[in-house]
This record gives sequence, C-alpha cells and structure tokens, in this order.
Amino acid sequence: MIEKLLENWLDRASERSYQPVFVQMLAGDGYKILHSTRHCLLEFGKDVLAIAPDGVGCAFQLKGNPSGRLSVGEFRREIQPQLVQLMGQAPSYPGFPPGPHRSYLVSNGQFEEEVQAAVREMNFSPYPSKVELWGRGQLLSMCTRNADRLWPDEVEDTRVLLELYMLDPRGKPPVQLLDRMLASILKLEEGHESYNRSELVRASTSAAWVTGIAMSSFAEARNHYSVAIAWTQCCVALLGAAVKHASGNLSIVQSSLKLAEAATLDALTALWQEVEGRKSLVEGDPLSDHDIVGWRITTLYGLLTPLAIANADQHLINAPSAEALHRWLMNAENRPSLWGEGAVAALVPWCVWLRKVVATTRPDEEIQALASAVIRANQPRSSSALPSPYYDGEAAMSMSMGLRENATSQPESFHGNSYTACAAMHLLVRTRLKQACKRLWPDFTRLGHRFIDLADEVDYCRFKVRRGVETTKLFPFTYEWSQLQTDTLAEPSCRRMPDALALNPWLLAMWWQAAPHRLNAEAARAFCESLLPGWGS
Amino acid sequence: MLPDLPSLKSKLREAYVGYVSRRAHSQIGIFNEVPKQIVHEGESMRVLRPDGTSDDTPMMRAQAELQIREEEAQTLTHEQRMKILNDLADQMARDMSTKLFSSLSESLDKAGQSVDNRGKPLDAEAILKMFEKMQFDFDEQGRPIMPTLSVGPDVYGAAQAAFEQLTNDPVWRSRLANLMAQKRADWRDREASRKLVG
Repeated sequence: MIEKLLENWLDRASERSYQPVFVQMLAGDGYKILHSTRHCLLEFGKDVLAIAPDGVGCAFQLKGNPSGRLSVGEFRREIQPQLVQLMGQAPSYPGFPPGPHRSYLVSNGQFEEEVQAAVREMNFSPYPSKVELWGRGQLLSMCTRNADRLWPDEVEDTRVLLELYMLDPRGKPPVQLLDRMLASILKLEEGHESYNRSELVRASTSAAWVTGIAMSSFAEARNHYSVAIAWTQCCVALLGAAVKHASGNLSIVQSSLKLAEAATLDALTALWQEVEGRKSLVEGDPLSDHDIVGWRITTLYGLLTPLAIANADQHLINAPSAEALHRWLMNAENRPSLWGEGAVAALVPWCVWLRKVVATTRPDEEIQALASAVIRANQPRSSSALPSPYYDGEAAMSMSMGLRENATSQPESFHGNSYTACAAMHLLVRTRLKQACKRLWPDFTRLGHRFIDLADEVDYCRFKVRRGVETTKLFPFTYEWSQLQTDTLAEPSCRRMPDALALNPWLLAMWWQAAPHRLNAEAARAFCESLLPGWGS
Repeated sequence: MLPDLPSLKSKLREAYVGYVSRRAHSQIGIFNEVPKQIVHEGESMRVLRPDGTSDDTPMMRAQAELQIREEEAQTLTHEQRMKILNDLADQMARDMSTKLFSSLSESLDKAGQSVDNRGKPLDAEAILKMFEKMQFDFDEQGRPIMPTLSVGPDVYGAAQAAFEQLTNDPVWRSRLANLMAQKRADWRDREASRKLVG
C-alpha cells in the first residue's frame, strides 16, 4: 500500500512538489544538502547541491515529467546546454568540495532511448564531470528504500498521512491534522519518551519527508498558502523536538530544519510571484468572493510580511521584485479586514515591519488603529466582539455571516475579553503615543486579558496542548505609564518559547499565521526585540 | 459484524447529543444566560486579579448516564426514545446546576460576598443586604444594570413580595434609592479611576 501511494505520488508530481521530498531522501541516504530552493535557482539550472557520503560534490538538475517521457527534442532544446555547462564548470558555492563533481539529471518520468544515448555521448567528452540519469525507476526505488526508514511507525500516523494526501488541495491548510502527525512522529506530546540522537535524526528527516508527501497535491495545485503554512509547522515542530529531546541543541535537526525553512520560503516566494502578476486579488467566483477578499488581504499581509523580513537577510527575490513587495505591503489601498482576533496575528508583524522600514508616522497610526479596534470591539456589552484567535477565518466569518455549521451547541461569547488586546496595547506603548494609550486605558481595563500559561517551551510549538492554565488577567484601574512601559519592554524572567524561534522573526510571524492563538504579549515582545531591537525604549 | 451505517449513526448521535445539550442548558436557569467561554487549551483556569492575587479553578465534569438494553433498541417507540433523552438531559442539568452553584458558592464565600440570612425567609432586608455586597454598573443614561435573582420555587413568592415592597413601600423605596445613589457614586469613582497616570 505504501509503495502504491509513493508510486501514485511520484507519477503526479512536478519538480516543484517532489523537490522537498527528494532532498529529504538524499539526506536520508547520507548526502549533506548545501542548497535546495526553487526561488533562487543557481546558474545552469542546478536545483540541488549536495555532498555525497564519499565526500564528492553533486549537482542535481530536476525535471518534472509525471507519467511522461523526456523526449530528445526537449532534451536538446532545454537541458543539454545547461548540462554541458554543468559538466564543464564546478558550481561555485560555499562549502562545495573542490575537484571533479558528479552531475545528475533527475526526472520522475522516463528518459527516451535517444536521450540516454545523447548523455552517453556527452560523457565521452573530456569534461571533468560526468552526467548520470536518474529516472522514475531510480526515484521509486529511492522512495521505497527511504520509506522503510522514514515512514511513520504508528498506524494512526499512516491514516492521517493518507487523509492529508487525499484532501481537497485547494482548501485551507490542514493545520490540526498535520500538527497531530508531526507531534506523533517527533514525540512532542507530554508523556512521550525521549529520542536519543540517532532516533531524533531519523524522526526529523521522517517529519520533513512526510510533510512533503502530505502536501504534494497542495503544491501541485499551487496552493502556496497551505504549503507555506505546512512547512512552517514542520519547522516549528522540529524546533520543539530539539527542545524536548536535545535540550535545544539544533544541530541534530538542523539539516531537516534548513530544508523545511527553504521549502517555506519557496512557497512564500511563489505566492508573492502570483500576487505580483495579478491584476486583482479576486479568486474564483466573484459573487461570493466579495465577502472573502478582505480576509484574503489580511492573510496575504500575514504571509508576505515574513517573506519581506526573510528577504532582507537572505535575498530570496531580485531587487525589483523586492521593491514591488514593499510597495504592495505599503499600499494603503489594500485594506485588510479585522475578521477576528486571528487577523491580529497577521497585522502585528506587518505593523512592526512597517515601523522598521517606514520613516513616517504611518506605522504608529496603523498600530493605534489596530489597538483601538481590538480593545473597543470586545468591550463587555459589545454586540460585535471579535471571535477569539482559536477561530480561523472560515469559522469566524461563518459565525458572523450566520453560516455556522455546528449549530447544535451554543456559540461562544467573545465580549468582555481578548487574547490580543494586551499585545496590541504594548505595541502602542512602544510608539510612545502616550495620549492615545491614556484614551484607550479605561476600555483596556474593562477587558479580561486571556492567555494560555504554557507548562513548557515545547508546548509553544504545538497547535493546541492539553496541559497549561487558561489564564485571565485583570489590570488595575489606575496604572502608572512608567509601569506599563516596563511591562512592554522588560524581558520576562523565563521565555515560554524556544530561543531559536524567538530569534527568528520571519518564522515566528509565520507560526502565528498557522496558530494565531500563539500570539500573546510575551511573544510579540520577543518578535519586536528580534526585528527591531530597542524600539520604544 | 452485521450490516451497519456508522456514518448515518454518527450524524444521528450528534443530533441526539445536540438535543440533550440544548434541553440541559435550558434547565440550568440563570447559568444559561451567562456568556459562555470555551477553554480551548489547558487543564485548569486561573484569574489574575489587579491586586496580585489569583484564583485557580479546576475543570469539572458533568455527567449523566443512560442504559438501553440491546433487545429493547429494536422496539423503542419515538416517545420512549424521547423520554430516555429527556431523562438524560434532566440528569445532566441537575449535575451541572449542582456543580455550578457549589462552585459559585465556594468562590463567593472565599471573597466574603455571601449573605447568611440565618434561616429567616427571604425579605426586602435580605435583598438590600445582597445589593450592598454587590458591585453595580450603570448604563449611559445613569440607570443601574440590575442583576437577575435566581431563586428556587419555594422562595419565589417571598421574593416577589419583597420586590413589591422595595418598589411600592415608600420607606423601603427610599432605602433602595439611597443604596443605588451610593452605588452610582461608587461606580462613578470606579470609572473615573480607570486612568493611566504619570
């Protein structure tokens, strides 16, 4: 059954969706991956650079020919010139071993006889590097070989993986299903025994491998949103695993983590390229989309802000595209919708990023508007309180539109309390708009400020946890401005999230898009200090 | 196994549970009107007060039980099935009510908010004593947002008489008005104290 599934997957995949799985299999076979992204293709079309177990550098060029054959015409037209350059010139990439390297042309389809003959002929040339063809058969045996080691042990995980694989690929990210599977593979649950080093290496590779397979149909459907969220979950689960099993030592999960981060950024880049090329942000049926487009803009803010943050360090997209991304994120005509407190998790990173890149008063105005909207919406007698961040856009908007599916139970009340008002108020304090803070303070004190007091750092990396204390904090009616500044700026005595996440602002912001209820005042403080150290002090 | 339709049965079960839940909630009186909040994560609840104190509340399980013998299932009439569901909902409502009142009572005792009427019947004096203990909010027009009084059927008549006295008897009406004036002043002070200083 597993072999059939892998065969089915392989026969449907384009290079975009099989690359993340392919590199995990290379890693599983002992290769050290140096480079694997789609967004920043190296010269001559080398998609993956790796060091083989025998220390020789390897360059892979990937082609997607699902259930097809690479014809000699296509080969000569599109691939041969790149292969010639690949054979004649070693990739110049930090860490790539000097000396002759191996070149591979990889396809999930078949190679025509003439292509194989052409490659044999090329290999007689005096170039130092020779080309090897890896076709469907090779990839399938690589899959089944790795499946023996990487396929989840638990039957329940297999069931969840199949369920994920069969989902409608155009839908929203399957966050809870994926969380359950990753937590089981990486043993993140309370009471799970610990992994030793080699077990953790295997589990990390397995987690990334199954994420790639589970999300392959989403990748094929170019549902970049769901793909980016899934890989983010994988990254954060790997960080949680490093905390739980290796006292936070990232080196053991590093290889899988780097590949998962690259896959996240690939999906975000592809999403941006789609947004950049669009004349409008309407998707599908325009009549019903009218009610959705505000949510979409908010969601895009939540996804493209982390891309802009990551791009500042990693140069994922070229300069004109990066400028266009900044313009899009700063375009005041793209008005996001505050459809629930979950939307705050998309807007907080955007506001802080805006503060970092814009020298006008606009970021402060946006922060003031956000804090004011959240605090005022959820007042005790409000009839239009924002649903808590435990409700995603679909659930929150279904409620507000009267389309709630499970109407057998009584709906939750949201007025009188908030999960995100405290984080929003702290941002406003950083702007030093003291009078604005003073105006909002009376309404702020009328709210119960809710958060989950987590028992352990690793729990921050889970979508939902059983342990912990659901806490409601009430603020004193009269409060000192200086004390509020201290609350905003002071580092807590212990941080309830892995350091590696607190120090990686783009990944933290992405995690909030997967799990908006993980945005709280403390997490927002870590984000601000990481992205904009000293802001407001 | 015998031929089965588990998916349809699952939907039916959901419908029955929904019915039981609605009926049970409709019977817990005042608690059904209290805003409902879901604890999405965690195993207990805590309130952190402005004075630094905290109050922890564990989760409580409300339960009810139904028993249907297999041989009965085939011959149950619609009325018999409804009776089973109604019994289940009533049991659940009793269990929820008992636990909610006991938890509320414990919290109020701890906070010194209880009034012990020492076995005397409920009267206007007792109601004023209760009001004295309570914090009142007022609407934009300055009218008090009055609480809802929950009483058992045996006290209902006395409660009605006491409220009539508070409304119609000039002496009691004046005492209530004075108390509300004090509460309004407290509310104004409280609201005026909501400020960020410095």
